[in-house]
Amino acid sequence: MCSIRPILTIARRELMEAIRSRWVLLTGALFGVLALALSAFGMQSVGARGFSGFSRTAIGLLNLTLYLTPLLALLLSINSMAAEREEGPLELLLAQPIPRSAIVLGKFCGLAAALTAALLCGLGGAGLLIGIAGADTDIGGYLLLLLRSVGLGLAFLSLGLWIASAAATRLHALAHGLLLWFATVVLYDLVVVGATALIGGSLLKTALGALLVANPVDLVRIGTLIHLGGADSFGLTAQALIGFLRGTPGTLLLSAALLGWIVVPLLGATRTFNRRDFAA
Amino acid sequence: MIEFAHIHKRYGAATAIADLSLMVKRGELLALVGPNGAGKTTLIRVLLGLVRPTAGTVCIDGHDVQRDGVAARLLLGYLPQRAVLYGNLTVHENLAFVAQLRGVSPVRIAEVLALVRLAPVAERPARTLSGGMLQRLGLAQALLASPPVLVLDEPTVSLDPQSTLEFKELLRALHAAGTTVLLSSHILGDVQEVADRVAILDHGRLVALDSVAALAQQCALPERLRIQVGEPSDHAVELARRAGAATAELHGETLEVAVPRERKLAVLQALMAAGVVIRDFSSAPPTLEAIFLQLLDQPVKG
Repeated sequence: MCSIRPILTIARRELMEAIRSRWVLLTGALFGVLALALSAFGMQSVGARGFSGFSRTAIGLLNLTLYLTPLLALLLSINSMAAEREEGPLELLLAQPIPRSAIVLGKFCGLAAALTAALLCGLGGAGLLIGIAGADTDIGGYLLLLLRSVGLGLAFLSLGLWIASAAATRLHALAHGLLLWFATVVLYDLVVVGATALIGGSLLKTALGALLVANPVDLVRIGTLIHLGGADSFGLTAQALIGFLRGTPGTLLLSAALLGWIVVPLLGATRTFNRRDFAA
Repeated sequence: MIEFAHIHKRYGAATAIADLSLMVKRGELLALVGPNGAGKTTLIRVLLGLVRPTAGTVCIDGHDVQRDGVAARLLLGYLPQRAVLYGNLTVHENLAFVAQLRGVSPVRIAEVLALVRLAPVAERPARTLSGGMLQRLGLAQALLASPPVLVLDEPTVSLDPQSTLEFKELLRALHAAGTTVLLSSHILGDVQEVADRVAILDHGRLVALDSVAALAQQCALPERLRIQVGEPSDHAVELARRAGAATAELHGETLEVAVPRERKLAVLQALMAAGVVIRDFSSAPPTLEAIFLQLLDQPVKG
């Protein structure tokens, strides 16, 4: 049984660390500046001046967040777990009278709070400015993007903690993390393209459905594109699946799958962390 | 208080600990000594639950470390060789963090800060502390919950001589107050000064376990007798040898004799009977270093 006190204590320290190291500030600023820049440049490209509005900004930001959020979440969680092990504090933490699972859950909660704060400040703040500047009114689309970005970040935090819990060194963990990022963000679409070319008929829909659920990045991409009505503009997976997951059941299925991508790796991280040896 | 029962730990084909059983009595200060790779740190990590033994059990006051780890660790404070806490937190914040984890009252933080003389730097970030100060901060966190068991892994390695002396004084005080201490150290002189018993490990096995005096007797090592004589002469050297000294050498006015404990008085009596003027003398038991070296040259038990 894992009591809540050590989880909250560790979560608070993780959040404090992220704030003091200016990670939250810098990440929030990065997202905010990029959101504003995308909005402004997007409007200039169609011959107007000023901000181009939520919907177009949201679609523009989608690809950006699909690339950046997983990477930042992986680096944050791997650095928190693996660096702490190599530098020493984890040894003292493990020697305290707390369950090991409290360490993993506490770290996840603290890092999740830091990442959420950065995304809300950066993307949310930029959204607010764009709204004040008098852009169009698809606030729902922008909020959905924000929410899905947070969900995507949490999924990759869990994955990062799992990788760091299993890896022998910080370097191994970083290498595996970058490999995962490359596979999910870059390589995955190639697999989907291959699948559509090789598989035909009724099997294709099942195969693509499975491939969609198998990657949190595509989950977020498709889910957001369907809502924003921009599914024709991005990604081959999106085009193939646009009709498959439209409507409330589709949204719920995507949200449940994303939740699964947060919970299952976190359970995996806890199990791996509980079982491993921490030799000198 | 601490019971290691048939501990075996393998890493792949390598054996780190081989069927090691050891009991640390309540209130005892037991030192683990041994060459690098003897298994001292692995044994401590098994005790802390950081490493799962391949076979065997460790209990702290009846709590199995593997099955009931939280209850077992509640009884102990741990100071590693290089205590590293959170650099971005201040000294006080680091201790507050541990206090919250262990459910210790914040009032206790001020007490341990005073005990380890870190109160003046309480608001400094831990990353700005010297190695010695960090080690004292590590000791402070180990003492925070006033645990009945202290586990210290090479605690004085990064301390300067003054801090080492203070550390030994504090250790004696804690020991006198009834704290059970398991200490791992390479500094055999320090171990000899503070330990009730010494466990000598080699290649993951327990080679010997007893007090330094008892080990010296088992090894039949001679004591060192320093005799200040009135008129130094080769005759005095010869007399000492004849009375049972293993070696006898003259250094200025001091006759240095290595002699079995039971022949000490015989040497002194022989010198006095021959008219040698003895101005002063002192004797020292065999060093732990001598015992250690002798024991490790012998075949490993078991």
